[in-house]
Amino acid sequence: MMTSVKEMMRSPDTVMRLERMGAAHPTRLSFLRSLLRRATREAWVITRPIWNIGTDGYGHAVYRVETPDRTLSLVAFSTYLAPENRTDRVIAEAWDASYVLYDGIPSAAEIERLSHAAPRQEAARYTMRDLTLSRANKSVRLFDHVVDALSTGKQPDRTLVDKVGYLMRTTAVYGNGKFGIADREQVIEHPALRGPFQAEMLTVWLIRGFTVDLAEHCARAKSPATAVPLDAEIKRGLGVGNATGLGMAPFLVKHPTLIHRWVAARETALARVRQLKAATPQTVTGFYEALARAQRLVDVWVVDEPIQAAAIKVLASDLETLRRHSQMLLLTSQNMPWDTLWTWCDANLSIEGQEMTLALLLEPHGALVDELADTMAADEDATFPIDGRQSCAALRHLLDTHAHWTTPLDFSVATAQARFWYVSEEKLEPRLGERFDEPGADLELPLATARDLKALKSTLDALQFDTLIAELLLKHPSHRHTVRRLQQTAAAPYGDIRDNLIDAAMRPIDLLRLKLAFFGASRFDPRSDRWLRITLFRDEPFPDAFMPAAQASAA
Amino acid sequence: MIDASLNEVDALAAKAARGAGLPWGLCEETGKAARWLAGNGFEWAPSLLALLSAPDEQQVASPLLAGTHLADLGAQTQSIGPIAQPLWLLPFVARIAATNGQAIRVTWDGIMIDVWPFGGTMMGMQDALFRAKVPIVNLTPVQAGTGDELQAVAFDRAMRSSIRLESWQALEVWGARTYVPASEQSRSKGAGAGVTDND
Repeated sequence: MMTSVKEMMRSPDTVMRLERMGAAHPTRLSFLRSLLRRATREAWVITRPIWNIGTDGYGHAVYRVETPDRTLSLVAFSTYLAPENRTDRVIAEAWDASYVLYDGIPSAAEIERLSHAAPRQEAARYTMRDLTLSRANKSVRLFDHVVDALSTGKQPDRTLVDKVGYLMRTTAVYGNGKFGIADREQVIEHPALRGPFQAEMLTVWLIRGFTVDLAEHCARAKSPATAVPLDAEIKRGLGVGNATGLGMAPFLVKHPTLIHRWVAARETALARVRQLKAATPQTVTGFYEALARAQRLVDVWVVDEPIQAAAIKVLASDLETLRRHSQMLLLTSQNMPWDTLWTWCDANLSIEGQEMTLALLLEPHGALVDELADTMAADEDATFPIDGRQSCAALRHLLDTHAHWTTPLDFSVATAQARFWYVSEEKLEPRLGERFDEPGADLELPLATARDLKALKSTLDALQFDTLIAELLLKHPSHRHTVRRLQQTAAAPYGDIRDNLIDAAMRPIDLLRLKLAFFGASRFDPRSDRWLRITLFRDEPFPDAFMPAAQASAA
Repeated sequence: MIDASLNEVDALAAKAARGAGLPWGLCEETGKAARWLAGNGFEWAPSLLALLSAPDEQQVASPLLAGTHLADLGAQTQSIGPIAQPLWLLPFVARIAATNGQAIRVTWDGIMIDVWPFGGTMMGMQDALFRAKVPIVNLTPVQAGTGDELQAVAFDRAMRSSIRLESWQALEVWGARTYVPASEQSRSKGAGAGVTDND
């Protein structure tokens, strides 16, 4: 009998561990990939109606995106930034460039409004026409090098381009109502922006176009007679950098239903591929093309952080082993060859290698899996209410079936609760503290999911089984967030990170990496255990591929 | 006036509630309730501030506690009181109405409100909405065709919330109680700095 897709899916106990989350790779279901597929499918038209940048490289530009339903604009500002003020950290108050994704076509008055607001970022207020807010800093060494080279008619040094990978890195891309910008409810009225983080991905993609346009513009301004445009091949290797820190971590705990949808889509896709009875010549070729691309990527993926550096080394040898073994596995397997391959990987490769293989298996199977991208949004309001009419016995059952992973954890041991998450007064951003030698643990954020589940269990142990959940919560309102999360994750098991988030050994970058991989990020470059650099859209098409031919060739 | 997004309303109300010492789960409820009130055109901030600053009275129920309890039970018929800021029961009644697909009539001294799964109508005195305390609130399922609704005013659906600057700032003051002041250690380690980030 055939195993169903559902039975073939990996268990949340396997998937939602920090170690594996911290080895996640982008797949064709990642959000930037689904954005680009939609742009192609719907034949978006992208133009640059305003380019008001001076010879000094400062000014503003507008990029217009016409989708079948609506028009969107990126308003970009380039401003002078003193070198001593250039920092990726949240303490920054000024940036090289700032951006707003705007609903419709901005009038001169609206551009004027944004020219005062956007460079100040969170110090200003915004309106519901503003869909996202973002800022970026130059990679000074690469930006200046590219401008210098192009201005003298030369192409930049390929090695340096590969090493840095971007001309600018964003330090924040805000969405969902922050500082008065549009709520997600308004954003998703644009059919093109309905999927998770599509407005943010569109913003970053257009920023990528702007960074190259700006560098070419600066080269021309420097030496109009000798300047040349950037070579198309080199250009394609440029993404947008991004620095991400702890600010992103609470999101993963606060949105279990949404995270479940993302992971369930990816795991469903893997199970569908494994279930295929045969491998076609086209999919086998597609797999090897993807593998070759992955090997090239790993060759230029260089990081300083020792744990990731070691993992990359193992990944490189894993991919070579995979290349050598896969041919035989695919050829000799009588039934479900991709499953044979996957099973072999599962037994023989590192976690990093397994997660990369997952991405490679999905790559040639777009027709089979791409529609899953449409299942990755969630109606979180629907899962917010607690069902208090159930009994504590039912709640007890949920603990047994969905919180079993907390059983081995012992919170009487100091290392099990060595950390606490908090919001710092100075930055108004999430931070991680040491519980036993820093003040502030009384202001802890509710990210200690495992500890809270265990506390709920001991309260339940002392209650009558027929007590209603509503009665339990009336008496013990401090368990309310845990009961809600338990009911939510019981229906959304991939939404629960099955590890202790306040353990002494917990590495926050493992949390961040899962989310960034779903965005479509590559070249994860941890700068500590708490923040990392990535690039987005590297090796993907540029917005100018969607410009009417005349404008593209004139540019 | 501040023109706030509904997500900001949610976040600010939840944070202020946490600053006032409510348990996390109730803070989440407070945020969602504020969002519902704002989204249905009700002024929500002054009554929330009053609620957060009022001393606990043994005999008077909090609408946040009472409201979540009613919503947890899915209760359609109930009399409760005395209760503070009864306006804050409406978001929870709306949840019950949505769950059951059945409108619920809420009455207290001077006002009658029909809460539908989406939106609703009200009849009575506007200022009764904002009573600080009422002796009793009654909930009953709405019987169709009573004709009462003819004179009722529909809620104003809103996508933004206009908040007086003083209210906004006062809620921020409550919220600021949730922040941990910086220490030398948190500056150097809290976000994992120490590696140059400028290249």
